[in-house]
Amino acid sequence: MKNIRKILVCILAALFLFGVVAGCSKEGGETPVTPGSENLAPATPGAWEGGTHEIYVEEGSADFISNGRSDYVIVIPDECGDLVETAASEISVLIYEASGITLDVVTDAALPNTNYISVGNTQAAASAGVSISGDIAARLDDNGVYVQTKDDNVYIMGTTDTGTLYAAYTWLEYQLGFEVYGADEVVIATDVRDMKLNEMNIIDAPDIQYMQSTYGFTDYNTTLRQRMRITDNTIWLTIGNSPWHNSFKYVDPDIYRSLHPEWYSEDGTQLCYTAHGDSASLTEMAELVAERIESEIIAQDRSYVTITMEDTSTWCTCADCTALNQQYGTDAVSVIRFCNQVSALIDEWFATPEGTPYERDLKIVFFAYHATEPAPVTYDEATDTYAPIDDTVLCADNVGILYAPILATYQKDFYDEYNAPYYTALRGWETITDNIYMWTYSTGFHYYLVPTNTYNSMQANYRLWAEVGAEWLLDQSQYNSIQSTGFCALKLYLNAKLHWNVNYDMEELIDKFFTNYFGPAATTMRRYFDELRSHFLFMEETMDYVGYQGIEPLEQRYWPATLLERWISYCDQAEEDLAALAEEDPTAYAMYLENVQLESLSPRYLLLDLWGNRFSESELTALRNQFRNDCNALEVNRYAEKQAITELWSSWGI
Amino acid sequence: MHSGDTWGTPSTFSLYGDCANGQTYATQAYYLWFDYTSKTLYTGANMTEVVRFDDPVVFSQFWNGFENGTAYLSITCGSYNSSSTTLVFTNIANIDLTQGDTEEVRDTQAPAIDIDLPAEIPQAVVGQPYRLFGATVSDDEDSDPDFSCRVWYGYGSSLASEFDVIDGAFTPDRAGDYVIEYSAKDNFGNVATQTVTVRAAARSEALAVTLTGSAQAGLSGENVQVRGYEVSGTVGEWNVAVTASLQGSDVVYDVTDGVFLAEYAGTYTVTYTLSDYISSVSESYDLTVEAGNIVRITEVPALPDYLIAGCTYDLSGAVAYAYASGSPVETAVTFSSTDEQATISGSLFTPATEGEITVTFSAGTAEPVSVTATVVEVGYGDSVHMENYFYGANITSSASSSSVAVQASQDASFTFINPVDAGFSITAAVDPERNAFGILRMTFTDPEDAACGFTLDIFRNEEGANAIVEIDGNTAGSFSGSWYGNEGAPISFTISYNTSTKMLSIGSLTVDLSVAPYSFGGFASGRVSIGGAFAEVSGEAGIFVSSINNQSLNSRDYDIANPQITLLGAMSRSFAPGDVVTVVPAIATDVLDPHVSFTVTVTDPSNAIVTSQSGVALDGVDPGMQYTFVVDRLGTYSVLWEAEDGSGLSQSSYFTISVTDNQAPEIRYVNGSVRTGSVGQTIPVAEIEVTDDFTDDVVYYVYLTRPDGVMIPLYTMAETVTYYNGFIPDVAGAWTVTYYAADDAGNAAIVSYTVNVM
Repeated sequence: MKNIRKILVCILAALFLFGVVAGCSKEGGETPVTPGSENLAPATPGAWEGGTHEIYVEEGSADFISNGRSDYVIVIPDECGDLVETAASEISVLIYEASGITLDVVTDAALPNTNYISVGNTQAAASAGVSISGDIAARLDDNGVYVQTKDDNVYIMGTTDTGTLYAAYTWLEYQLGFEVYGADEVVIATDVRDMKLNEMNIIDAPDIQYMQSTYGFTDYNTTLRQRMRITDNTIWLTIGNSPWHNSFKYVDPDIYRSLHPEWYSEDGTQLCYTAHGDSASLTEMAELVAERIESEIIAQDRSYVTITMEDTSTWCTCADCTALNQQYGTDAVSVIRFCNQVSALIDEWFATPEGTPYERDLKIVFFAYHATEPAPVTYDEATDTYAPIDDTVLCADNVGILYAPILATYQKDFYDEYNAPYYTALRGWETITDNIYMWTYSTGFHYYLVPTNTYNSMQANYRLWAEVGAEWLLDQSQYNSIQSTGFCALKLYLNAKLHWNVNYDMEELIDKFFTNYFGPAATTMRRYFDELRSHFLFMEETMDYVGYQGIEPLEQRYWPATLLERWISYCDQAEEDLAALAEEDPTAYAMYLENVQLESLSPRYLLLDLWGNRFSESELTALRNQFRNDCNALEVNRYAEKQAITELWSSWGI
Repeated sequence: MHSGDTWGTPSTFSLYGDCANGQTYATQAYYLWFDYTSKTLYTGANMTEVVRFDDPVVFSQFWNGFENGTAYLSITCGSYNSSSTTLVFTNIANIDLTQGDTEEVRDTQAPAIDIDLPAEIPQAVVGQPYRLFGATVSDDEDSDPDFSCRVWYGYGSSLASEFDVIDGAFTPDRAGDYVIEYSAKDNFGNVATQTVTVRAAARSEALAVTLTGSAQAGLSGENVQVRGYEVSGTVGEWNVAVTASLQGSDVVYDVTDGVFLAEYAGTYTVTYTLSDYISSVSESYDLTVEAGNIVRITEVPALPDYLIAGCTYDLSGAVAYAYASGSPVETAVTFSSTDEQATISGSLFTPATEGEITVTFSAGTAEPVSVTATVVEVGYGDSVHMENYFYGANITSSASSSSVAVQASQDASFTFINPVDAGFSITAAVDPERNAFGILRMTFTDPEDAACGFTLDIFRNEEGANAIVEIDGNTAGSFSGSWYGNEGAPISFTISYNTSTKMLSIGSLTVDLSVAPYSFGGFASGRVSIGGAFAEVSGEAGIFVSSINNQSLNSRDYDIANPQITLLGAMSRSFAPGDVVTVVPAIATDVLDPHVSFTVTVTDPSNAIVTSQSGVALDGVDPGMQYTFVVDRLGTYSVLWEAEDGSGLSQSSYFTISVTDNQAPEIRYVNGSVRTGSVGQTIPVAEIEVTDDFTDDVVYYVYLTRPDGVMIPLYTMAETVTYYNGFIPDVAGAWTVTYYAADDAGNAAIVSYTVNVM
């Protein structure tokens, strides 16, 4: 807590002050404090220094493209996985898009005597002595990229096929200016007829290894997801049909509750991870879970698995679970011990002849969520440090937490006093395990069409996740809507960039996004966005519009009609800004227009839902019908996480 | 696929493209067939019938097919378990797509050009503009084919010359043949061309209109005969427009069939304008009209077809003019009636005797004007006999405790004598003991426009089957109306009409009358006259009518239903100060009482009476007119309509109008702003002034956006807001200062500027 207070003082003192503004409505005020140099510290911790981003690029002398021709080929290993082939294909496709030149893709065995772009662990790379050394491999981890230019050849690789694919995008970025803002909003050099091959020495790894896909934009578009370096669920062993909330998939109550009632909480909503104090029975349950994981390990080539509680805030209240809670101040301890036990069983199996072929560095992860959110630690105020209460609460080396602070306030970063309990918990968990995975929340799940403000907290939080060594991040959003409004496309872009490098200049990222996502309409749409952000702050400060679960956003006082109408007029103006493009470049026009229309949905929804009395009955019906048609055309198919958008039509009577 | 059974129509194919159990892709294909002639859908390689779209057992609303016999086929996929799906079409519309040659699926049909040609193509006159004939272009695939229209002299020869088309006309400069070439091209490159040849020559005879006969004087108030005319030198179709203008005034009359009603004494200029295809020419003469000792009745009120004995009708609205002074002077009109028992008081007329009557309007020496109507005795003002509201020859009507029975023993028609609200609802049933008739016909017409309406025919059903319904002769569907009742008890059905959506419901059948083939525009007056008829009567025919527009029809002898108020238009609810509000006309109707007192009152937020823009105090005024007024105060304005029928039953309708401040405050920089600075340097923020149209004390807030994109407030907030007039940046980059000012209504002004910090 002390950390938080100290930082707050800095916030107030570092930036402002001086006298009282003679505002037209205010009389007098407090005497301002003149800042001293000690107050010039940043409001929240600045750049995170722990990343690997070694980028060396300069123009070389070799001709990559000359007079509209290139002698380069793309070489892949004789045998390689799909992602390596995809990497090669992407390079070929995007070079063609930039220059009209098709480079052949060949395998090592068919490599002609010419310059090449090597993708993956090719024989060509081995022959050239280009490989990822042990030290670099450790720094790259699973998804880092390694790009080298040597003797006018290019070597693109990662420690995994995913890393290789991402390395291909890295090379394209620094050779051809490749950048992705959306499915169609791809920026790359064009009409290239002459180009030198850039000399590159790049060792670049994401600050957060895995960014989980959480938007329909990427869930329904594999190419976009890959280009944004966002992962899908396929790193996790699937237990049942999902990696999450799978405890009952392991220990099916329909089968086992009658046989082992001690395996379940009194109300049957969770497992009992102490088996009501029966250690032998608990071992039997652990063996059941371990066997299931072992069978999935055999079937799936994945290295992460979860043992995750059911999605409720309840917990077992048996005497043993209650005693643990009283002793450790959290319900997480029984889960830690259970997962450790399962981990040990699996390690034993790996050592058997049956299990050895499948041995891997398996990570077992449980939710730190609701009842298991607090860490079993003590806090020393004098030293501002946390420590495990005892050794029995430490996670095994390969056991980790999936921290999901669902009640945190995401308009503010975790350094803010609003989020003190969640910041504290995270700091505590750092002493319990080195394996931290983050599950955060980026939208209003009951109101998909209402924009939410996470822009003030995003970078500071991502830096914090990197600082605690989070390996995986799900910044959960509108995963089940094919497309989303409320500047979700911007959030997706920021997610993609910031997880890779938490120190990117966020304002610069936002500028680039608007320029390339809206084209000639960028200035107008940026004006809408900036006003929206200031309005968020206004609501926060004057109407206590803050919190995640606690906000009910559908009130007229939050969204004045004239403000919504102005934002809608900005979208109309944006369409006019694009008009000249209709003839010059119909494809670009259609792309930008769709993006503007997608963003117009949010203020239109709020106006038509909250301010229907501003229209006659026939006008309102017509506008709502038009809104519905636009949602259908733009594939905005969800009104909320649990509600299809057709329910909105029903409530509107259309 | 299911139709009418619980098992459905099996259709086996693989959604996984998976050929299991020795199957092949061919046997795993999905087949869908549609026989347009029989409107039958089939599935499977063996064409198993799924359903007929015109089967009344399954469908209550019939589908009449695609309008032009063609349709677009589309297929969508959903609930993906993967990121994509691939469909392979091997055959569409009997086109084998496996052969590789896809020429057959190209559009090879050129657009169609339809030129609006006259019966005889007029000759062009050298030196005179010649209007091109209009044309419309259509294409099966391209909604907007390219179209051009060019004119050539010497078309097709090496010396062909093209003529400019200006404002839809070309001007031939020499005699000869000119070809107008109409050309259209669709997206697939199919071209259609049509030509029209026009011969041009010097006009052989000048266009002229020659007056015949002699000028005759006339009298004001009389129809005046003008001179005749002859025409010559015309090309193509021609016409002559004749007008009479009173000299020294703006008064102009159209002369029809050689006469016009000269309302004023004076000198008229009678002008004849002859126009042919090429040009026009005029001729005129003066005509003198003297003051005439004439009185003329020009307008009489329309009487309803049926009057209710004992009910008072206002027959004001008759207009007569006396022309003795040389100008029309309105003069009094009186009226009399053949109903000797009727009461006349001023313009109020109360008929008393049942039967056909004549009302005659008189004014001085004017020729009287008579109108006829039928008076019906219903017990108005006394004990009401609801059955008497059903009036017609060859019918009898009687009332029971639950309904009014209307019966006939031969083909007969009847009318419900009082027009009701156009959003009608009628509940009726066929008498199962008097069902010897083939068609129950209902007619619904606008009482102010007999041409506006529609006819509903309900056909006697086979027992156990639905009854077929036709609207204006078009089969609309069927519903469970029954001629046979249920074990002797009649089965009621409701016919209702929604004025907003123009949907007509007959039992469970719903028909959209706004679309083809009906294209019904609605009842403009807001009222409807209901008529009925028994057709194809072969014995005893009868129906029970239990209610109209929520008015129960039975043997009760008094009215229990309130009047109904209907607005003849839409009104908005939300306005800004200074806006003009329109109060639309409204009507009040009562099923049994033609006489409904009806007023409208408009009040402002302080409850004061509002005055319209034309100076009318809107306090209990006639709602049948439209009023406009300006809202100049914030708050709620109220519009109250009140109606009361002769029985004292009342109805009111209340409409609120919100006037809200929609104007955001204005922010003005007082002394400009500092746009550059350095790290660690104190940078002042701009001083602003905020004004608002309604809020005296506008609160504003100042925000600062750091170069890293984080936005923070530049003030502290306790009981009051304390601002700071500067900030000290700690990093270089772009810092943005934003001012957010909101008035009491929540309207927000947001302005910002950027400071570049080095």
